[in-house]
Amino acid sequence: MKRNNEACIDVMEVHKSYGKFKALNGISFSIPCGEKWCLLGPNGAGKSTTLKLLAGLMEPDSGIIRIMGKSPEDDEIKRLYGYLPEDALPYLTLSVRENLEYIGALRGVEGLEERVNYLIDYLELREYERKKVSSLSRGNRQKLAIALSIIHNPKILLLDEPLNYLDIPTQEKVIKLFNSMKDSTFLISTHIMSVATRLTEKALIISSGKIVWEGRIEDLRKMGGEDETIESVVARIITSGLNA
Amino acid sequence: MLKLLKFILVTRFSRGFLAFILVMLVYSIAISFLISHDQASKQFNSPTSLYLPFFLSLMALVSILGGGILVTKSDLDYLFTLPIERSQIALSLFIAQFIGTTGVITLFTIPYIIELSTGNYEYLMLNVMDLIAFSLFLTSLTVVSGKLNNLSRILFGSLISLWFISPIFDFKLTPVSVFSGNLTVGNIFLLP
Repeated sequence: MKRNNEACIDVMEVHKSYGKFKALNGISFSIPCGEKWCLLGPNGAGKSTTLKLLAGLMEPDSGIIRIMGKSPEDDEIKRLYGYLPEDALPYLTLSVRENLEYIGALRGVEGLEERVNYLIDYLELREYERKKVSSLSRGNRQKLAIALSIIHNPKILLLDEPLNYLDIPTQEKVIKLFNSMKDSTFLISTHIMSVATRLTEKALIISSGKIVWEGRIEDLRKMGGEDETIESVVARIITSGLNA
Repeated sequence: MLKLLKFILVTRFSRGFLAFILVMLVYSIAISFLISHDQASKQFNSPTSLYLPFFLSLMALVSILGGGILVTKSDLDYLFTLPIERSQIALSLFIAQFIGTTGVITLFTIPYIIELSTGNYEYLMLNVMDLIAFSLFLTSLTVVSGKLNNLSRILFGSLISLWFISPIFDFKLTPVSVFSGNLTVGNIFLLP
């Protein structure tokens, strides 16, 4: 298993099981620094497991995971990435501002107050800043979760269904915010094709714990005929499990 | 480390809960001065000698069956992705759990601890220290139980629970003996 020296994220022959269920069955991929990739696949394909492994929240049963050549559990690496879990749950007993201030302080963010105010204003959380998270709607919790994942301007962003629960205007703002992070490396798990096409340029398609396709989204588009949507192409790849 | 500990404490205990515990402690200490102290600790009797072993045994069973240190989904989403050494996070979570355990035990036992102390300030201090030592012991047991599978945890919890309730049946070789009039024997089992 050889590591790609220019890659920010390296996953090599990784296996992960939950009891008898094989979530990941020997996946390998490499993401160069600065590139934006999405992870497409049906429910239960192993997308969230892949992101959790990359975030250092669990260890693979076998195989190697490296971020900038180091283990994801390395503190130096944890400074570099931001992770947005699916259905993220900020601390319910704290207010919006407290969540941001505590997490920002523990991450050692410089100019924290300014950064907190920017994110609160940008994500239109000002009227809720003193309210406990337990009293917020699911959409506002998601906005806070997004703010928490990028409070430290991460170089690598691991996002699991980032636009869940957001209304359309907020989705547009969040897409603009993510797209402004031009130098960051993205790996975004989603099953909504429009999210993938607006935030990323390349795709990994995962099915039953295996990578069944990887390449440019533009190439995916080209694989379909005039009458075939990109969603149909992805569905065809997932269903057939072809390594096109 | 202090910043982390403060964060973990505020994410577990509301300010109201902490204030309530503080008020209860102040109230209990104040009340202890008002109680006559013409009895020796060894001579206490009736409900206290039954209640404390029963409650502490129940507390141990619940804590052990709960399985290990309390970790919330928010901790998984945020705390464990912070660039902080796992050992520091583990220690802070342990301290938070210890404070929580001490708080709950204090709330439910302090009137009995005062009765046990029979108005004697030295006894009260000793009993409070034993209560804290007991909370530390119980927190450590819950950490150990977190590594067990369900069946082993039920067995472990039941055995510990039986051990803690045994002073009711006049068995003295248990840490709970400190709260049933056997300070020396109880401390031999509690303090190590």
